[in-house]
Amino acid sequence: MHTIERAKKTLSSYRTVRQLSLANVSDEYNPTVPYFSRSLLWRLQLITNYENSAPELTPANSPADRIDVRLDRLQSSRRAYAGLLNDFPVPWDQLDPGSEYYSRAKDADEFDIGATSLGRTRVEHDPLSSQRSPRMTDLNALQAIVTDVERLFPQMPAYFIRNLANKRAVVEILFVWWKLHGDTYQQGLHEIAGLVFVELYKEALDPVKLQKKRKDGSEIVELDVTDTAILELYDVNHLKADVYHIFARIVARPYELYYGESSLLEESIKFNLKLHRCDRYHFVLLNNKLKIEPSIWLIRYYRLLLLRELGVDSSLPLWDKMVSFGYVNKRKEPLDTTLLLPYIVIILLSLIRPETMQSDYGEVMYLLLHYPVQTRNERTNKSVRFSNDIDEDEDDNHHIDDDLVYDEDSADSDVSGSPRVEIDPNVIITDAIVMYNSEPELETVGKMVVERYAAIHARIPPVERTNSLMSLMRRSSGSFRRRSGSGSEDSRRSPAKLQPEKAYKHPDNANDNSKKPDFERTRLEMRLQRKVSKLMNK
Amino acid sequence: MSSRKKTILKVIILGDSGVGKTSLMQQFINGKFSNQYKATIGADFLPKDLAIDDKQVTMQIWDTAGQERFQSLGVAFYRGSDCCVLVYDVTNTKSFESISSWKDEFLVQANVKDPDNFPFVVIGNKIDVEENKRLISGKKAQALCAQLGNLPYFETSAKEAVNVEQAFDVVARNALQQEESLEFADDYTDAVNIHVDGDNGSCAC
Repeated sequence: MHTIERAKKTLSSYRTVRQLSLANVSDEYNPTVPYFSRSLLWRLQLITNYENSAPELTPANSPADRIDVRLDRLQSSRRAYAGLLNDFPVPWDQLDPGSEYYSRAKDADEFDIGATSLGRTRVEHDPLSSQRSPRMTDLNALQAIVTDVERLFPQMPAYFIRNLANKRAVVEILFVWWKLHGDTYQQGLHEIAGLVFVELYKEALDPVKLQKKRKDGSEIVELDVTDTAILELYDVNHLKADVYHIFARIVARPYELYYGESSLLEESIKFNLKLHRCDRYHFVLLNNKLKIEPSIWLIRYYRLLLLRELGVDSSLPLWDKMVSFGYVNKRKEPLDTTLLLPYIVIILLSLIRPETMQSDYGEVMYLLLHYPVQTRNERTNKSVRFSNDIDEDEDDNHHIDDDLVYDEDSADSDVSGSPRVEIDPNVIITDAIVMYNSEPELETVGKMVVERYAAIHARIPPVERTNSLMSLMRRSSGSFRRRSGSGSEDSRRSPAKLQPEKAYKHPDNANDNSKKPDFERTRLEMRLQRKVSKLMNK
Repeated sequence: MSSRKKTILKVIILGDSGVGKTSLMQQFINGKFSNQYKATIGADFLPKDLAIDDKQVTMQIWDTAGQERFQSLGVAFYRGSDCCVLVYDVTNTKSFESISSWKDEFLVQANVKDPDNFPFVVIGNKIDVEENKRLISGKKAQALCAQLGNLPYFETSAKEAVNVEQAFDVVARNALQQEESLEFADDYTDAVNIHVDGDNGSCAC
């Protein structure tokens, strides 16, 4: 399906962005839907209709029969980016002239040349303060960004490693973002920006090329008025501006919560409290027995929104839903993409319980920092197929080489012989929402979810584990829905009314005694449990 | 595996971003090199079992994010280290100049008992580059190491597996020495306790 067709179908299938977001959260609008368009979804949620994200701002009975795309907002956001670039030109000319990123001030950018005459002076830091300098110099920040973008997504070299223009684009976006938001540029941001770039780049359209093709008669797509508007949405010429805004909004809350040391420590404590409420076993194991401070491993889980732990393929649908969930739950600025994150991490932990049970400090630490996620071959094939589609569709400069393979770190893949966990992002998100919505009853509902996951993985003999986990997880979560849901089966068929956050509000089987926690079986754990309850009573 | 408690050596690798800390660790542990390791976020952790003069040890290597200047978090990462590896890139002057500040930061945060005798090993990486790209001479580096307290110094290429094995051998030996000196201190305290207990026991007989 051509990008324009997909966008048209998406826009006409839902009346508001809120509905579209709900459809995404409930997995009705997901990457397997032929007209799914991630870059459209993100643009609608995070640029054009961002202001409408608060529910009270969405007209209850919108007269429109399709999503109203606020193109004026798109245009002004793009103008704003051009302005920012003007105000904060990237000092390419200060780099080492031998660097492939170096360019002289005059031709540094296609934007306002006059701005370079501002003559930024390099600030030499006082030697005493240089180590703890609260703010980097422009050049320091640029060098740090370049160092990271140079090694961005080695598993898909066609996008960055071998594409200087794309690397420069991401460097520029990060530099401008840093000027506006950051004290210091921090590692991790580059990967989030990089992935947003990839996703928008895949679907970008070049109006000139489309026009040319039409003249040749080789292109069958006829552009009408709405097509022109859609073309404007996907316009490759504004790719950087759109990536900038989407990146800035996805990362706003994570940056606030996880990129500063003290806030990260605070979030680690909050995580620990949640963990204590729904997974005593891991709480005790990590905190009391092994003395692993959560911040040590959470730093990467949180800062990269699980990208390193789960890999690109599983992270993307997760990110979609975290953004969509943030969109429908937005009460204040900024949109919060982190609402479900602690619960997802708790679920991921529970999935490796059979392994952590029999491991010492070193083994648990290794598991945590090399989360044993299963990357499936089918998925890899799908990605490659998808990239071929792009080439057929657009036939423009986005040629993605055949060797594009979403292959996770080769360093990781061959190290561990431990069983790997296969993740179904949709099932996990659904359960994370259940936990989020029952925060006051986390001791019962959260615990139930955790025990279920731990049991799913543990029941199966190690050999079969990786193959059958997926189906078991599906089945198990299905039964969970049946027992707790209020007509979720029906609402699936009428997306307009689907409100998952309500459907899952109060699972009435909070005291599920049939599910005896697995960990009570072993003596050691009972002892640990007594210890923690004693500690808690103090 | 023997029933005897296995010795665990905690080694931490510090140095500026992009000097090759991850590459060195991968080369040492897996014996391979890739041009394209991702930036380390927070820290990575890899264990390796090895024998030092017939003594079986497990080296737990912490590879840290070079861009991170941990303050409150550093304590959690550095605590209990037995050896600290300071890495710079011979083609990057700034990374060389950072060596002594990495050392200081480590000592402040790791809270080691005897900072003057804590084992550090300095590594100048990327010696596989062409001669004209090299900015820090071996002489200059050795002068710095002498000044910092006669620290052992190695020049390596993680890419071509030059000297990596040798450098980590010294790291392991120094870490083991450090660990044993701490163990000795612990044993000593234990011995006193056992002795007291023993006295009580003999009275009961």
